[in-house]
Amino acid sequence: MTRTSQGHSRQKRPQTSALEKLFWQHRVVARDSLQRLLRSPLATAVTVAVIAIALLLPALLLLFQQNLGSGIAELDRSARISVYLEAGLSDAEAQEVGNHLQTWDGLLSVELISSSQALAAFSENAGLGEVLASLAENPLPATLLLVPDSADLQQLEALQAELEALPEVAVVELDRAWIARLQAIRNAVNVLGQALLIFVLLGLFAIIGNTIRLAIENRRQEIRVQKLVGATDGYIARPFLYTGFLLGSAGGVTACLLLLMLWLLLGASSRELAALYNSGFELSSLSPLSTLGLVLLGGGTGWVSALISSYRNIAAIDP
Amino acid sequence: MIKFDDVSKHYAGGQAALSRVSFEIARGEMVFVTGHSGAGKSTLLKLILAMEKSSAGQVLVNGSNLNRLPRKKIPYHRRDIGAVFQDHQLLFDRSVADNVALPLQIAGFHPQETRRRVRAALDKVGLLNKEKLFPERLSGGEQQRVGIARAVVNRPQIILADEPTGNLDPELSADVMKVFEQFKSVGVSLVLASHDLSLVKQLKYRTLTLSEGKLIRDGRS
Repeated sequence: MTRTSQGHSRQKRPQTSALEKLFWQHRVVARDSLQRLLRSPLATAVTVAVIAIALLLPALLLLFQQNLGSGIAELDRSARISVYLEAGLSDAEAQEVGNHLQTWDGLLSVELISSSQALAAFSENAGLGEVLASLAENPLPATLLLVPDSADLQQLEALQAELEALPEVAVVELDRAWIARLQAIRNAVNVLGQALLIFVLLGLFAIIGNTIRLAIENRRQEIRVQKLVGATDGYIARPFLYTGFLLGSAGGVTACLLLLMLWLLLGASSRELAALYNSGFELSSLSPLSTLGLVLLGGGTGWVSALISSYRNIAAIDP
Repeated sequence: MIKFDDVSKHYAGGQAALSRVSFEIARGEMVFVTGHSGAGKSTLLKLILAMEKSSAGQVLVNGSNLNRLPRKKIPYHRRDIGAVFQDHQLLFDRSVADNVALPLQIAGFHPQETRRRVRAALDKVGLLNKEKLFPERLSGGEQQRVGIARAVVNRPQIILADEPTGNLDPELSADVMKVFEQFKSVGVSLVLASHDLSLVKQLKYRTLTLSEGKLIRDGRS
């Protein structure tokens, strides 16, 4: 019973700067939240795994869409325009049209298949040699195979219109149906990814919010006592906000690791597939920025859902 | 410091826990509240701590009217009050020192200053040698003294205590009363609810006697 009445006045409290105070307070709380999570490793692992798998779904779709995009770009470079010339044109005239097209902008190469070449190739490949030989005239037109330097659908259509305006040209075939189809698939995947992301976020709110609600329920007595000795709701909520943030971030990191694993598994077989199509296509992984984004998305969602859940549940505890 | 102005408190069941109670407690005054159990002692303390709101009349603490105190301000109001609860309200998942440190942590004290003040408070109640133990290892009297240390650690302006000497032998009771007197001497107002009439009579402090929610006596015993 020593140290009696010295220093009771309120002015004698040591003054630390507000920022400094906030910093070490948060450090203490963050460490405590982490320790609590680690104290029940199984429950924490299950929650993190659920969050990771939930985040994995939209991330996978994003990757699929991204790879589909680069796949399309790869295929676009081998896009062809077939220009069928009028049937009556001689080989020399066809050659002239070809030479003229060489001078155009926007074309990488122009290859002429004369009507006699076309006939030879056709009879060889289709086994119709005899039928064709019986015809008095060669029914096949000369064809110009063009490789454009652009993959943009609008530019290609403009080019098609220009070509069709030439008097020697009968039909211009732009093989664009599959490009349009792929782009439509890509758009659909994009929309699906966004919708899925919203559902996943709602699910994460429910999962993390419920985890926080249970944590608050487990610490009801402690919260009661804290309130009795003057803790604000914000002070009480702080460790739970860290819990939500830590769970969400850990889920994000785990999702990234799972993605990396899938990428390594699929990498070899996708290269094989690309080789079969004579394509230099490489399966792309998440960029460092998207990886960071995924982790932050997890952490942010965890924090927000903890915020909503803790304020509701803490306010309900009345000493 | 504390003023009850015609205060009544009814609970949902209809019975009146307090009816038309008026008194005033000055700065640096120590007051006992006595009466049988159920006479309204705990309700009176709960009203001062803003755990309950009065049904009628005004409770003024340190100049602010608790009936008009917004919910958000209640925590700050409680930080000026050190409360000792009859059931101690200790946390069993942390050490004695950490229990006592709670009000300081909440008020945002630096860990070093917190440790210094916790040791000083535990020293006052004679439990410095048990700071690292967990409350379940302590006797009822020791737990009670941990509660007292927690109530005084933040050097509050008001100390409320519900049966603070209930589990203590006469010698320890006298020690605890000495601690309270030290706080009184530096201007702290104390309200001590007790049915230990022998202690109350012996100490000759102002005593409020409650019976069935009514204040039947206000004076020195």
